[in-house]
Amino acid sequence: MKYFVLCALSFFIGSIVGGVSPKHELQKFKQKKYESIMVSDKDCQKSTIGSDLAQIMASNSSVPNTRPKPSQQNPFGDRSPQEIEKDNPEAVEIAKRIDENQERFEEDFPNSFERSQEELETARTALELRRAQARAALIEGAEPNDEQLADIDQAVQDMNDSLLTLSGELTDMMENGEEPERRQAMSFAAEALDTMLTAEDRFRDALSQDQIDALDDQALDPFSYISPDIIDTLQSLDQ
Amino acid sequence: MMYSVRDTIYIAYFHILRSIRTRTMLFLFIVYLLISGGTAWFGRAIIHEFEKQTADTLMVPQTETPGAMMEILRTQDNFHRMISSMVPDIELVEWALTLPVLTIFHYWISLFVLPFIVAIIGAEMIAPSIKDRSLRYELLRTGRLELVMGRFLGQSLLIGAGTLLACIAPLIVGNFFMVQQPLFETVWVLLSFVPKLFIWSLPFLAFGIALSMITQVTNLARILALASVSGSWILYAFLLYHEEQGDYPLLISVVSPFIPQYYGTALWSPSWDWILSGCILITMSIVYCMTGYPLFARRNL
Repeated sequence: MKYFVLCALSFFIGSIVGGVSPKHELQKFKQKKYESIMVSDKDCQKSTIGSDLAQIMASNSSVPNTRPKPSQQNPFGDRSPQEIEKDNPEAVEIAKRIDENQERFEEDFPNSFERSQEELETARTALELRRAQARAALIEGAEPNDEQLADIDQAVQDMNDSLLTLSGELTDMMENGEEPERRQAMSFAAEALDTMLTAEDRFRDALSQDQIDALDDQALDPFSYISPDIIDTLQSLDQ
Repeated sequence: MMYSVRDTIYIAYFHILRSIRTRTMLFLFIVYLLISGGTAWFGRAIIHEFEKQTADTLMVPQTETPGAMMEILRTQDNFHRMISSMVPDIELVEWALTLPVLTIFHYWISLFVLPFIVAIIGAEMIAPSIKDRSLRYELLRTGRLELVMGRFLGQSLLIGAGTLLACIAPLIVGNFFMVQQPLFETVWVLLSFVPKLFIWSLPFLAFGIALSMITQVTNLARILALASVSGSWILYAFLLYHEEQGDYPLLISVVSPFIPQYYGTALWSPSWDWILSGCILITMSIVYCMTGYPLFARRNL
C-alpha cells in the first residue's frame, strides 16, 4: 500500500511540476499579448490617424447630421483635405477602403436585410413556441385519447397545408408584380378565416363537451397552431 | 505488498458492511436522493416560471406541467446564438444545448453541492473511532495506512453508489412532473455524468478524511472540512479573477494545480479529454488523504 501511495504521490507531483512550466509560459504569452495591446493603444493615442480618418469620413458621409452645425466650420479642422492627404496618406487610403467595402455591402445586401432576417427567425421561434405550448395546454386540460389527439393533429396539419397554399398563391401573385385587388384580398382573407374556423370546428368535434369546458379558450384558438413554415413562404415577399 | 492490498480491500469491505448494519449507507443514499431530487425540482421550477412568463407574452395558455417550450427552444438557432454570446466556448454551448435541461441542472448543482456533503462524510471516517478507542482493536490485525486507505476506498465506493442512485431523482421529476423529456437520452446523459461526479467528489472526501485523522472531535473535523471546502472555492475564485487580470502569473501557475476546482471545469466536456483531469483528481485525492497521515501514524491511540 505504501508503494501505491508513493506512486500516486509521484504522479500528482509530476503532473503539477510538469504542468507549471507550460502554464507559466501561457501566462507570460497572455501577459505579453495584453501588454502589446496596451502599447498599440498608446501608439494610437499618439498618432493622428484616427482623428484624420474621422474628419475625412465626416466630410464624405452621406448620413444627414441631426446635430446643429456650429456655423461654417471646416470639417478638416484647420487643415485642408490636401494637407491631411499629405500628412497622413494612410488615413485617406483606409477611408477609401471603408467606403468601397460599404458600397459593396450595400450592393450585396439591402439595408434592412439582416435585421429582417433576424426578425423573421424570431417570429418563427415564437410561432413554434406558441404551437408547442398550446398543444401541451390542450393535452393537459382535455387529456384526449390517442384517437382524439390524432384527429386534432390532422386538423392542424390540414389547416396549415391550406394556409400554406393560400400564402403561396399570394406570394406568386406578388412576385409576378401583380397587386391583389380589393376583392381578391378580401377573398384571400375570407378563405384564410374559413380555414381556421373549419380547423376549430374539427377541434371541437374531436373533443367531448366536458373536455372543451376544461380547456382554456386559447388552447382551441387555431391561431396558436399556425405553422412557422408560413413565415418561410412570406419571407420571399420581403426579398 | 500483497498482504497490504488485501488488508485494504478487507477494511473497505468491512466498512461497507458496517455502513449497511448501522444504516449509514441508507442515510447517505437518502441524502443523495434528496439533494438530486431538490436540484431537479429547483430546475423544474425555474423552467416552469420561464414558460409561464413566455406563455403570457405569446398569449397562449399556461400549463401546470412544464417542459414543452424548453424542448422546442433548445433546438432553435437564435436561442443557440443567444447562449453562445454569453458563453465564450461555442463548442461547449452547442454540446450543452443537445443535453436534456434537467441533466444540466443535475450536473452543475451537484458540482457545487457534492464537495460539502462528501467532506462532511469524510470527516466522520476516523475521528469517532479515535474518540471511542475502537480503532485499537482494528489495528491489532492491520496497519494504520491500510486502515486509512481501506476506509477511503470503502467510502468512495459508497459515494459512487450514491452518485449512481442520485440519477433516479431527475429521471422521476423529468418523466412524471414534466412533459416531452426524452427518457433514454436523459438516462444515458445522467449515467455519463456519474463517473465525472464520482471522481470530482474524491478530493473533497480526502479533505474530510485527512482532517478526521488530526482530531478526535468529530464536530471539529466537520467544521474544518466545511471550512476547507469553502476555502478552496474562495481560493479558486481569487485565482480565476487574478488570472483574468494577468496578475501574479507565477503564483497562479504554482498554486492553482493544487486545488481540485482547477481540474473540475475540464470534466464538463463532450469528449474523453476529461480522463486526464480525472486521473489527476484521483491521485490528488490519495495525496490529500495522506496529508493527515503523519500525525495519525504517531498518535497514541
